[in-house]
This record gives sequence, structure tokens and C-alpha cells, in this order.
Amino acid sequence: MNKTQQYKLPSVRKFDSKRFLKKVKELREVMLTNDPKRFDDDDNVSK
Amino acid sequence: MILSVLTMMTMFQNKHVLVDTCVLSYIFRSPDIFAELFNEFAKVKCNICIHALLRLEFVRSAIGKAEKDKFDKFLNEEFLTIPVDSIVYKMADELYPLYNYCGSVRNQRQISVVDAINASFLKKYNDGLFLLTLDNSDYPLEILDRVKVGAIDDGKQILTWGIYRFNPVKFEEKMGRFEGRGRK
Repeated sequence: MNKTQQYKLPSVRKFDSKRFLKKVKELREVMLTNDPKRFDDDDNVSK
Repeated sequence: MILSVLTMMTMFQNKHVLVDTCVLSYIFRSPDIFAELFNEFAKVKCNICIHALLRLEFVRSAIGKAEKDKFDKFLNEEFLTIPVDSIVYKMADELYPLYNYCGSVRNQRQISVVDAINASFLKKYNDGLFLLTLDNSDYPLEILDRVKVGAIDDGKQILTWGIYRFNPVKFEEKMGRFEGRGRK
């Protein structure tokens, strides 16, 4: 493989923090409804 | 809250940042903090992205199909998904032993599949792609640069995020030692 080869990533998409926050909070509610103790375990952050 | 360190970071201008699974999971514990952090990236037109294996690792925590569908919809709408192609796969295959070599020197556990794929993406896209993670010990500085760190205080605990990029000079030097080309 050519070590100097440059790969390009797709172009930038617009991020809207208010929209993002709204969706995260809605989904968080769904997750807590399905399992109220979902975020109780601090060790269960990753994976 | 987030240290506002990214605002003046031209380093991230028009680049992409890959979000590790631990970050994806933590978003739902502290939504405001990550909305703020991602907004800092957006200010410098830095695109937030994931790849298919990160998606799988996150979505596997879904309880039921309805929740999985909501996870998928959220990821599709808010993150750019970069395909895991044969180039990345081949790089990960090559990176495994070197990565484990770095880890064994530091008495660390073996690299996970997703961590290897993440590192391979950084290698493939080089200075165009960064990685945001909370699992800082998973990314060896023998081949990567940690270009930025910050703290998250969610009121219960303080976490440290790190941003990484591939360092081809370090990689070649470490690969030389690994293959016995240079000094041990």
C-alpha cells in the first residue's frame, strides 16, 4: 500500500446542539422507561 | 462542565472526530455536557462520526426492537457513519500484534476488536481524523498522539476525555523496534 496515499472522508454535516440535546433526552427517557436502573451503575459506562 | 478548550482549536477545523463507544454510552448520562462538547467541534466545522462496529457495540445494549430502532434512528440522524472497508480491516490485522506489543510493554490487557478498528481508522485518515474517548488507557501513545484532554464533572464523578490522532513517525519507529529493525 502506498504510505503517502491520502484518503478523504465524507463532507461535513451540520450539527445542531439543541436538536441533538432534544433527541438524546427523548431517547434517555425511553431507555429509563425500559430499565429504570439503567444508569445506576457507574461502572457500566462503556461497551 | 466542559473546559472550553476547543473553541480556539484550529487543529480540528474541517476535520472529523470519531466518537468511541464509551462516549456514545455516556452521552445519555450527561446529555448537556456532550451537547456542549459536540457544539465546540461544530463551531470549527469538525464532523462527528462513528463506524459500523462502534454502532454495533452501542446498539447491542438496546432492550427490545423498538429501542434498537430508536438507537439506529438517533445514530443515523446525528452521526456520520464511516464504512469499515477492506483497507481498514487490513490495517487492523497488521496493527494487532504491534498494538499488543505496546500493551505488553505497559502490562496492559489485549486490544479489543473495536479499539483496533478505531486505531486503523486513525491510521488510514491520518491527520484528517481524531478519536474522542473516555477510555484513555486503550490508546497507546507509542503510536498515537493525545492532542487534547478535558474533564467532565457530572456531579457524581469526574471523567477525563482524550482526543487522539495517529502519529506515522512514532508508528514507523515502533514498528522498526517491533520487527527487530532498530534497537530494542
